Amino acid sequence: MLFGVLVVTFVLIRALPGDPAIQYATSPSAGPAEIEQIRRDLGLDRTVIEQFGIYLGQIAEGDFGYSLQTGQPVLSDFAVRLPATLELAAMAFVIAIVVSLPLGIAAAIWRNTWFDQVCRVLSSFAAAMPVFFFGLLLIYFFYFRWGITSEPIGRWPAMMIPPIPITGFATVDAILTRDSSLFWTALGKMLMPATSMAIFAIAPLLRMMRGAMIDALDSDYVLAANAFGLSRTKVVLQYALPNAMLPVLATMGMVLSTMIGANVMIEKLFAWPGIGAYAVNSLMSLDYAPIQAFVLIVAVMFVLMTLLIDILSAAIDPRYKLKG
Amino acid sequence: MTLAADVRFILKRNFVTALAGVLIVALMIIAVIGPYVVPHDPLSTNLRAVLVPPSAANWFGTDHLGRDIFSRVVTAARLDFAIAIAAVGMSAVIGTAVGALSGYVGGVLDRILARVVDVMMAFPLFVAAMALVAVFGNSVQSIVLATAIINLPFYFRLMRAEIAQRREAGYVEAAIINGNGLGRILFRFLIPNAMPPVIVQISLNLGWAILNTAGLAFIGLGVAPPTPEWGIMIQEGASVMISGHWWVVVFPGAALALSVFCFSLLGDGIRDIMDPRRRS
Repeated sequence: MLFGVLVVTFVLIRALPGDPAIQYATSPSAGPAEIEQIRRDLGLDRTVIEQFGIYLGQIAEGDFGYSLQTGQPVLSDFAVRLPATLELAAMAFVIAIVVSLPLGIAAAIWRNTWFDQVCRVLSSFAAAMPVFFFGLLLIYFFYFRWGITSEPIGRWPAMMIPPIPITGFATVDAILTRDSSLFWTALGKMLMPATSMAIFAIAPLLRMMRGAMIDALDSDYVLAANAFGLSRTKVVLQYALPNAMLPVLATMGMVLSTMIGANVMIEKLFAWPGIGAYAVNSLMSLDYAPIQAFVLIVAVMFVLMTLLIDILSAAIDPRYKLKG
Repeated sequence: MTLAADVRFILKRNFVTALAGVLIVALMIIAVIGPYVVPHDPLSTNLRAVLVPPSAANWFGTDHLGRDIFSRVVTAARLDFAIAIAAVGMSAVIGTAVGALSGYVGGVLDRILARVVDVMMAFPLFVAAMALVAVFGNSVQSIVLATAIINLPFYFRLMRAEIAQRREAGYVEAAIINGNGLGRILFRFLIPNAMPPVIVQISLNLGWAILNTAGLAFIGLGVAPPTPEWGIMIQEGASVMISGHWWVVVFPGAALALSVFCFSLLGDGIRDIMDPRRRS
């Protein structure tokens, strides 16, 4: 699978507009001879298979080329930005899980009551809500109207000098330096973008949890557990929930995919200094090296997360076969 | 039961689906005739009436260049729907045909195609769309093509599974014995039988494609200003939302959300009608 991803990103590089040799020939006096020389230096005169081999070697060394925009190696640009993205995404994911799973379980237990109906309507709205539109609504109410949150731009308040990163994760750094005010500042700044990002994941997770829980509650083993006189809490949490988690885990891959997309839009909207905003800005200025790296890194992360979901599913259900 | 009675029976029990269907038809009509009947030119600027709140003259107010937002929201419907329909149409037709062939023929071809689709699915949808737009160039055609390509795997997998299930069915055997060719067996007998889940997928997909188009436009890909398009309008309004000019963003956003909402309701409804076992 990862090999397939590498092939696609390699094809992507070939397919992107612009001759790399001409791009590298920065001097205006570079004539055809110089360009030919650069072409040979870059290995562009070799066969496609050889070039693919060179590409694999570069990836293995972590050489993704240079960004025209920042003048830095793409890899170091990513190293600076990745923690900001991961931190935001992790928080959004936690929000989505904390909101949707309990609501889904509750909606299944009290099915066809007003509570279930409210959940259903809310999740339908959440599913149709464009993340960037929801983010703007949050900005309007929480920042402009009520003035509760700080300015919805970036990772730190405008007047603040960002602390020197240790791990790059703002909240982890704050904990390491035992600075509680810094911790709450960082967390506060993340709250609005993370909530906007979470909104899209809530609807599918809630629906799936409700459906799976209903199936589990209607099953014979739950009937048997009830007949034995086990407490309701025990039946729901210990008997029904683990079985209901499997279909929920199966949708998780799709949820992650949409969340990565949402992440790009939200980073752009909130001027969040992460890899999504970086990739968009590179795309706008026709700076292709970072985009190739972005696509590759995101795809690899996505494949690894899908694998993790697979392993988790197998851990929960012995009948589940690993896809490999 | 006659067809009309059938339809009435189904609609009576699926009021929400019917409502969503009616709303979609209404939106489609707006998309087709809207650009001819809007009160203002969606492109004409008026710097003496910038950021005017909703009023009798400008129902949805005006934006930072004094353009009438109502006219722009209505005009944008056509472009957003056209992109979504073209893209989903392409991926549905190609994905269904290739998936059916792969599922029916099986063997090496099937294994290779399934592998290719697996790799396609390894890229998160929106990121794949971004990369494809980067390759094809920043234009409306690229958006259509990119959206079509990233949706292909869903139709392929759906059709492949449906056909593989039915490959051994009695009516297929009968068709083979009667001397029907491969194409005729696929298109005349197998695909029509496997269509219901595809139709559900198309409806859900249309809403998603509109969302995708607007999302790409929001980050600056595909449709270029000053073309009226919901995603661009939201992006342009983002900077004035912070200073409280909510109408620039809210009206295109609401139009976008409503369209997506209707398509997903319709898709869910059709699924309930066609497949009573999977009612949610």
